[in-house]
Amino acid sequence: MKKLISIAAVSMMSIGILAGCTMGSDTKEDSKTKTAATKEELKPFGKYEETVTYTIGKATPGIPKLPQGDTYEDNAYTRYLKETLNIQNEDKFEAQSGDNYNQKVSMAIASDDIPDIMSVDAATLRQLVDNDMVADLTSVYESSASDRLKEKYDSYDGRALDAATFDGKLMALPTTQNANNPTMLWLRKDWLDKLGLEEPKTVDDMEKILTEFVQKDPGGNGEGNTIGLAISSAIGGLYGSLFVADNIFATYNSFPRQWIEEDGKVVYGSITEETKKGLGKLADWYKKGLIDPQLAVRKSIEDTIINGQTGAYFGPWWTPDYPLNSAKQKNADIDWQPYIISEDGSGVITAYTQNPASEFYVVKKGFEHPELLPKLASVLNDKLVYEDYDYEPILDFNKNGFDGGKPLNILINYNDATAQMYKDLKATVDGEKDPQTLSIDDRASFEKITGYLADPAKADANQWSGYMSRMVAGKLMADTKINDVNPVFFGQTKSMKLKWANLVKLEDEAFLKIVTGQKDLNYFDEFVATWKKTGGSDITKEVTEAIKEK
Amino acid sequence: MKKKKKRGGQLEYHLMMAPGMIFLIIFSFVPMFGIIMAFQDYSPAKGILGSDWVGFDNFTYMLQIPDSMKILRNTLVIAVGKIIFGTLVPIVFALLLNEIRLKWAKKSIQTIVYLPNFLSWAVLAAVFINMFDFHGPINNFLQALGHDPIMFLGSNDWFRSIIVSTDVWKGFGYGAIVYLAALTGIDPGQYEAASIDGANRFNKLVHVTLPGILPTIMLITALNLGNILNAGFDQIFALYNPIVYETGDVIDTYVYRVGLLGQQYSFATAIGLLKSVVACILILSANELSKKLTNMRIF
Repeated sequence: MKKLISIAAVSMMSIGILAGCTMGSDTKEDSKTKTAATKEELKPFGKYEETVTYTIGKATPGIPKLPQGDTYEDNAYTRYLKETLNIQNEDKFEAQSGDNYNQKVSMAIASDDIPDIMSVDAATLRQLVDNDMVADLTSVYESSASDRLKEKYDSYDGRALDAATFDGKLMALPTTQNANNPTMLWLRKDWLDKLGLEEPKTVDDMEKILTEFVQKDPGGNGEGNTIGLAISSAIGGLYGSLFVADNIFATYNSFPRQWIEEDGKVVYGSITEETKKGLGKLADWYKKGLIDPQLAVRKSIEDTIINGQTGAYFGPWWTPDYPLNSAKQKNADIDWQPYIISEDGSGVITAYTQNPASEFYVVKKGFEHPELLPKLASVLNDKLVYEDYDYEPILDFNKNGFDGGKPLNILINYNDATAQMYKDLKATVDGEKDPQTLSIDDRASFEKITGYLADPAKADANQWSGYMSRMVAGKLMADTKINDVNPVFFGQTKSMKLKWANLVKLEDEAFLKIVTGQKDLNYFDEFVATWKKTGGSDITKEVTEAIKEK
Repeated sequence: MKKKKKRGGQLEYHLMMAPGMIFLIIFSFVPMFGIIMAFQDYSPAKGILGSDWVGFDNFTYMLQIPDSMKILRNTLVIAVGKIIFGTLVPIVFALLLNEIRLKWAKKSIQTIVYLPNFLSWAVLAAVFINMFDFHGPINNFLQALGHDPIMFLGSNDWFRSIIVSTDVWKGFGYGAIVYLAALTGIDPGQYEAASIDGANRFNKLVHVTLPGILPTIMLITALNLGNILNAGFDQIFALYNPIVYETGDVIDTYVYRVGLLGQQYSFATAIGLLKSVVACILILSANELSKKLTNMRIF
């Protein structure tokens, strides 16, 4: 009998444990008393009386770099925010930005357990709004965003905020995507010099250079170990990204993954004849061994650049900061330089532009301080930049090349910010502008640049990357003539919800197979037919209608 | 008095089963209600009870796209491959090991081969990705023999074989434990009798050892059938890439990618349901087959 009782006890206990597992969550929030913000606390820079703790989804940089002892929840930025606003972030999840982060967001939404504030893409934002999971920010934007923040948003003629507005309600704060165009060809100049080659101007020049790189192994990586051009498995169509071949596609007037207008008709860029030509070129290069043979299975392209295996890639102006900074740290002798290549060598290139808003910050519905988001955005993009620009801990943080300190990477800037940044820095370097008047980010850059210019040979990796990105690539970007192609649609239509993921998969697979030669170029037509048949045609119709309605 | 005691003993056994049953109800039966998602346009905020009904839309679309047949085929091929080789290799290994008479050698071999079973696929994948790398040891070896290097993990010809063989490699040592135990259960008298009848080592293997462990083999195989469509999510997920979707994408990875990452919960549920239907048909027919061939059935 005793035995029986103990067994019964054990089984009761396990029931208890199981029940606890499945039902114990989600009761905590209700017991918290709701305290609305006071009038003072609603002000953009108003400090909370009691510390407000908010949970976030933290997107961490690919190569984490924080000062010793600091964490994502406790570093120069979070301490600054604690000081100014009396707020403290608590990370609900931390994941490397990109796929890893999106995965965590999807999981959080699927389990209906999202952090108080997080960043999402356009499609996810629509879903969150449809599902009534995020807070309406209309009134708190009015009350708690600083004037300068509003001014910055206004510099896009309303396009930025429009993207986050549903039925007249502002449901998110978008980051602004100021022009990142054009992406450039980044090349190992030291390899060029070693082989006695001319700098490239045309696509053909580039082909010659890549051939020499791969065949002659100027980096001494051992036979067959040198990668000519590094490309990500996405191949193309990701705006302002690293490792995509958009520049090559653009020479054929191809704009993969963008909705563009052609002869008055809306077309999806990935299925055009022009894209077929672009893919043909890349497939040809792959066959010749000029493109990373392992591109399909490559887990980290950054690694191949840092360890000196790669000779070239396409990337935006800021890539000296990432990942070239780490490459320079590892080997001070490398010399990566940016080039603009075009088909005829004229230096005039075609590039597609982007939606000003591509990333959105949302507040969970029911979070008692929705005003915290506009306040935080104001402090990071206004107060810190224009008032507290000499705040030492953050200056040091940036000067030493640390990354990932901001709890939220919410970047809101004027439409012409990148061009302005170059102009400001150029004027300061030339002595025409007082360094004290620079914004906090620019001042960190300025110190790096002067450090580099004082003695280029002895400059450290951070000084080098500051100089390369702002002065060299920034200048190239400011000087290049671009024919803008404006995609016509960025939203999501009804059928996309069910069918888009499959179409994207189809596209990824087809592009990759064609480039790597697993299918020949004619497979492209088969891909287009399948794409249209399995939903592409319907979606194209819906997009056409959606544009007409506008 | 005697009778009463017996009944009490049974109650104890039933109670011992209780935690397992509760576990089964909570984690296997309750989630089955989620199947209704397949007939809805599910949204997490509205929940299963509040989402809109769409009838068979998700299923019609499933039949429309070429992916469905592809992932079904991949799942079957990989799962069947794993069951066949995952059963044969441990048996052969156990038989071979049984023939080794040096006790220390036998013990150390056994320990070494079942170690991989305790490593996760996340760790092993990193190892295999390097091993099968374009410039990895396997390709170096091939090149030394005068072959061209092969991109194993980026090749639709190789991917499935690699999935099956690495899975077998990971599990065969552990799987052999049961057979080794079964082997020790064979009456030594039978071997002695066979020796007297003039049987050599091979005769003994065929006529004494194999029949001796046959019931164990049948039981293990039957149990494995229950897992037939679980082709191994974590393994494939860690090793695959878009280029081998064609041969490597199985139902589980597809559901994860399209359902969770693509946030198409309902569509993914529909596909997942397809898996259950197919698995059910397979198990029922395997059961019938087993009855016809060996007169043994699972249920």
